[in-house]
Amino acid sequence: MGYSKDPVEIADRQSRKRAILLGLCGLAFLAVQAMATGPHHESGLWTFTAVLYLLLLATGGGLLTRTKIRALMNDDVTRENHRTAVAAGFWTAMLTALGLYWIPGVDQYSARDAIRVVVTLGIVASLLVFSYLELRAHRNA
Amino acid sequence: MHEQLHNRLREARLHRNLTQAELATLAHVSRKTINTVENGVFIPSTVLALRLARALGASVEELFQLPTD
Repeated sequence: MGYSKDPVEIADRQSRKRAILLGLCGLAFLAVQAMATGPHHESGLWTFTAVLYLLLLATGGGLLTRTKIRALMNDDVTRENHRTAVAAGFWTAMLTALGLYWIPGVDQYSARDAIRVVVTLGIVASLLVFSYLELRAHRNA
Repeated sequence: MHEQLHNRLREARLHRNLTQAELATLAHVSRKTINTVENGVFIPSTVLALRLARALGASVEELFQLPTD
């Protein structure tokens, strides 16, 4: 099957792929953390993954993509979606932190475990919200 | 349609027999931007509104209007 070389079409395809991929990454990150056992299960891998996702959220990915395509992928709508997604991640992290602080029975968490839960849920919320908003923007396009 | 802004972008585009992709190319934006503006999901910035108007050979006021009370 041939693909168009029109920059708008290329940006459209890559933008859809990015939205799906980031959504799947968010779900996978959450699933892996939910299945993790032990106080400091694979903390090196978790740190690496968290930093990778934060970089993806900060840059929008596609650093090797042509400048024109990247500009189209990250135009007004995507920047607005990005702002909303990052805000959702922030509020999720804050509410999670408050929950860990106040909910009875979770005070046995170590500081490292608590940080891990807060960061994980913050990142997952941002990834999922960004993915949802981007896919909604593509709907019927 | 967004309650704060009415737009006639789809009508103007179809009147000129353009697809969303063709208008996106003319306005140097992505197709999802055209889609979200047409559907009232996204309120365009001033620059984007001017770009769309220029691409369609229309005025901004022809494409976007504040709702009447």
